[in-house]
Amino acid sequence: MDYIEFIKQTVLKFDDVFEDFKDVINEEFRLAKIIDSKTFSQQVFCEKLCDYFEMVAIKAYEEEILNVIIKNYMKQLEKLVKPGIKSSNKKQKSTRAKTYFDKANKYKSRINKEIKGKDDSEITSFLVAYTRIMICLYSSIIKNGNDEIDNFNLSVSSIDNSEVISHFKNSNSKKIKLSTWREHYSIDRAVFLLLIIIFYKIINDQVKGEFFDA
Amino acid sequence: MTKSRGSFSMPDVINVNHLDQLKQFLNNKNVIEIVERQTDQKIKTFQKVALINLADESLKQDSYQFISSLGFKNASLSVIRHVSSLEGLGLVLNGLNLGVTIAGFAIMANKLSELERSIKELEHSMQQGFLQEALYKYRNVLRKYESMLDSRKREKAFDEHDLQDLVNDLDNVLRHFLDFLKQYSQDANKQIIELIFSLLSMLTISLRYFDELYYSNHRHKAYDGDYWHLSHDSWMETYEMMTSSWFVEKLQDYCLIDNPNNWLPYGMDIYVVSLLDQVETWRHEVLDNQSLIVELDNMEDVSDIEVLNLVREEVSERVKKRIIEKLNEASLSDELHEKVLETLQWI
Repeated sequence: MDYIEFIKQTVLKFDDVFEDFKDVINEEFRLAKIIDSKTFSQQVFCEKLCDYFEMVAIKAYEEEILNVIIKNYMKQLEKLVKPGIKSSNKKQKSTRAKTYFDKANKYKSRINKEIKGKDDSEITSFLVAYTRIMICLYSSIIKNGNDEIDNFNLSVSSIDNSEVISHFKNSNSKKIKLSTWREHYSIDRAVFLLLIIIFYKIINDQVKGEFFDA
Repeated sequence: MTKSRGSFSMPDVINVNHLDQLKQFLNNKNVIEIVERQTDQKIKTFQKVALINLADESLKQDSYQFISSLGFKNASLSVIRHVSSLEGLGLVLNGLNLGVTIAGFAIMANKLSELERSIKELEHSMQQGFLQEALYKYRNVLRKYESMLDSRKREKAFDEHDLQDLVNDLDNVLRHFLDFLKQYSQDANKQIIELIFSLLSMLTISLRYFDELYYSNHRHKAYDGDYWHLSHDSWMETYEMMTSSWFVEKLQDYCLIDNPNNWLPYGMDIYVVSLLDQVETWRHEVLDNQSLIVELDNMEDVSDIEVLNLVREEVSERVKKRIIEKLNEASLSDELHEKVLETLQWI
């Protein structure tokens, strides 16, 4: 999938969440070199994000860079979440956490299939669906003190934004932390950026009712 | 004013005594608040049901424009906008308001045969047995509910104890199905969820009528603040159950895991939030009705509980007036115009 198309479908369409998103990105990534990136409009910010992906592509020498980032992203999330899923023995019914973990894997297979095929119009929707389940599982694991879970909260409103982001960042600290300019455009940092973008897309699209929110 | 029969009726003969009572309640702040709230709720309900009924592809733009013109561009309305692509939600929401008229009720009763068919497909005999029993109770309670609606239609008195039995039975069957959902969630299908929500719709309506009758019969003996039947809190707990986290999980699992259609989490959110909002709306309806009953009774010279029906008429008239006004302003096709008027009778 083309990263420009991805940014158009996500960040360019952010509503109220854009300001929070901008703050998080500014803290983690140095998108502006001279002026304060807080002054960037939404369109300009999207341009800078595209520039960032372009640099990652050049450094990795990969034309289809977003596909590579997505694959790494899913691998990384799985590594984080899998140890926290309590699997039942064969006699017992599968736990709710395991059932949804398997469901997420189905989305993962679908994404991999779409990446290989010509039509990538649905990759973003499946990426969001995959992330939603994995992030909710991850959030519940964190709240459980990193112990195994058998059930979890699938609601968007239950996710603690800063907890998830800081845990993700610290899980792979050597590679994600901004140490040198070499690491700034690494695939691992790009994976971190992808997480933040999809995360804020989920929050942006959160279904809000009269009395209840999703 | 004619007496409300729980459905839309045009006012024809004006009774002078009732007109005086009408003036009084229109001056009471608390009553006005409740009337406005109920009017808004009915219009929001109309918007939701209309969005589904008018969801024909070719008519979409005009429909949305008209429906939005009624006001309330609120969050829940934009949520329902996507509902035309989720046939499961459409059916549930349509079933939600059918309990009040006899014609609508007949549609709901048909769902019974659908459920009987799907029960035969259940694999485990224990689940079959559990569900058979629930179905038996459901058939019985439908008959009782039907006779209650019939009494109201013919303006016959319905005995307080019979009405209490109806409320108890509805609550009982509902809890039975909820228990089924809790234990055997992998077989929770569309019919059971529809049944549960239509039962809650019937319970809401029956509770309102029961509260009125009970208050009317016992208010002279009531202590300050203690007006309602002892079981009332227990009946209201059913609403709590249907917004509890385990119930939310079951609904989510139905959408993403058990559902044969490939829904994404976004569709699931719309479905779950819409249903939870509906439960909460109904809960407020019962509580608002109680406030209204007490408020009207505490007003001077308003001694007849019948004035409650006047309030209902007032709400219905306001809703109808607002919708028809906007309908005449909008340039909808004849077909759409007809559909709107048809939808109006369900509210």
